[in-house]
Amino acid sequence: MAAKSIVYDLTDIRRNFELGEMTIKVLQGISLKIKSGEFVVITGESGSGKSTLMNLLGMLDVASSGVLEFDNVNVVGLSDDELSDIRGKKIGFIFQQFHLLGTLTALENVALPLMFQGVHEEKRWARAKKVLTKVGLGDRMHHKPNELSGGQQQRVAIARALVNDPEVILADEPTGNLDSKTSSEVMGIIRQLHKEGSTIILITHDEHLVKFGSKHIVLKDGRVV
Amino acid sequence: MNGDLVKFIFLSLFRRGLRSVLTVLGISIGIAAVVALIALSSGMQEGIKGEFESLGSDKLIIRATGSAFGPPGTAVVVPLTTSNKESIDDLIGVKLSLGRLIRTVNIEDDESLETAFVVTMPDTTDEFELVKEAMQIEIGTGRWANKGSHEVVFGSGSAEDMFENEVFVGDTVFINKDEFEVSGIIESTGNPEKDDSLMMSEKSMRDLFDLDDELDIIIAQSVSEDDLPAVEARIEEVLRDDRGVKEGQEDFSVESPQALLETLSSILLVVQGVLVGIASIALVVGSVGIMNTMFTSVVERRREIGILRSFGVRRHTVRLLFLIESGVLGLAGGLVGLIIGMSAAKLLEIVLAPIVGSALLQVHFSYTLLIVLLILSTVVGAVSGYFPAREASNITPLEALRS
Repeated sequence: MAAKSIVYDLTDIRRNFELGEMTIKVLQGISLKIKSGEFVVITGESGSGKSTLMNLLGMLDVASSGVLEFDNVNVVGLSDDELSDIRGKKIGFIFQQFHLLGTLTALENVALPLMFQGVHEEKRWARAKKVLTKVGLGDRMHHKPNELSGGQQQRVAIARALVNDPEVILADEPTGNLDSKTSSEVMGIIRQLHKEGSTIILITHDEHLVKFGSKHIVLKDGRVV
Repeated sequence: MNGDLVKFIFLSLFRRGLRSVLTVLGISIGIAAVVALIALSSGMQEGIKGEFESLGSDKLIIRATGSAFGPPGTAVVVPLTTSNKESIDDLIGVKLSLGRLIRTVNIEDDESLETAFVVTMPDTTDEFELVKEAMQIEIGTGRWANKGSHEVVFGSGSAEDMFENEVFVGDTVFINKDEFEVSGIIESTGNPEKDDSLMMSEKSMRDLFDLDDELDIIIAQSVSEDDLPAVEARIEEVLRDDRGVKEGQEDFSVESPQALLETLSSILLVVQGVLVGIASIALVVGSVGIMNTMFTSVVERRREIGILRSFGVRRHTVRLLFLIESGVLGLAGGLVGLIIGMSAAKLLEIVLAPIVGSALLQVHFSYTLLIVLLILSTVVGAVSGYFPAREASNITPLEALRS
């Protein structure tokens, strides 16, 4: 990965939602570039379209129009399988609601994406243990989510996002459900990842987090301010 | 990868514990109902077939008709006679024939008075042996009643149950006020119709009822099975002559056990049809239950589908996951259902057979049916998990995550 290569290149991205007769224009022509190794903080009031933007960046959703280049490939119009493969190999998600599987232990949750990538079992466990240790949960690997605190659950989710060694980590309000102490712990891990060279895109309405980023994007009414 | 997928499915099913168990139980109840009902009804069919087969397919049963209801001998218009029997004996193709009398008697011991059927055993040796062979009966204790004697033979059931006190060889009973000695007791056959009967020699019965030459039933044995239709036609002809009736106005019937069996089988088919109908309703209810459970479970797990999709699991893989999972639940439900159904039917047989008669209440399992039911429950399970999962995987990962 070249140090300053462009990961995301968005040109006039729009996303409309049909609500009966009405068309709600959530994103009204977003153009921006994100380079490899950057720590981008996207802020905006609720309804500004920041979550919608992040879902498009993460290819969980499809733009209504525009060009969204990821690694120099326009992903608008790719098939669902192609988008799935990009998500699986190159993107790691951290959600506000953690989104862990309740039936699985921390270790199993973290190793699960690797299983679907066809990684051999022994390698999966080894890699999952490594990332869990990295986020400081080496001693709680065999606990299920409901046996872990919110901060611990979010650290499991971070470990899961890292396990594939993704090009980009997308974090959607990662501290939104956490108290201030655990918030700063989680942010500490994310900053550490940035220092180690990961590209990070963080969505938040918390202005205090802006200072951690290398770049700040503000959204208002579906446009970059 | 596929091995891992299956491991993952079993792991999550196992971890969901009670939920999986309840789903399996829901499926198994419909299957169990079908298995039990069909096992019992086809067992009944087998039992009846067995009864008729023991009678043999080379025999014809001749009865005087006119008594549509009630036991033979009670309301016959023109009874069969010994001379009818002699005419049948003389026919070509008839190996042997025998006549029997069946009468209702009053029977009493020291304490109580009961009503019972008495049937006669023929007084000639070869005819006597034929009855024993056809009925598959042997004397258990004591001996058969002597010709013309005041002796009676009890079935094992009637010996035990007819009076307050069990009847033993050597006991005295009064039949229509005449004193009779119990000469023997027949070995239990498992068939209450036989076990509950009383038998005496033909001559004893004639003396008792002051009968001349009447017979209630004649059984004719053909020289060969192939000749049976021809023998049947000859018997009908000679009896019409003997009894002076025209063709089409016969006051007697000649039936082969085979023909009776066919009539009975068609009735049984209706019975079985009704049972299968009830079972099918159970199965449909069960299937709807499976679909409901699967549907609810998949809808509840849309978020899980969203999570899987967020880290790159393809739609196809999600569907495969749910297809296998629900198929496994269906198969497990089917297996448990078979076990429950088979045990319930067997239990019913063990509990009820001694009460209603073991020959008719027995279970019979058809392996084809068991396999078909297993396949059915697997397919219903798989399909009802697959379709909601397909729907959930068709929406964007985002929508799935938000549900």
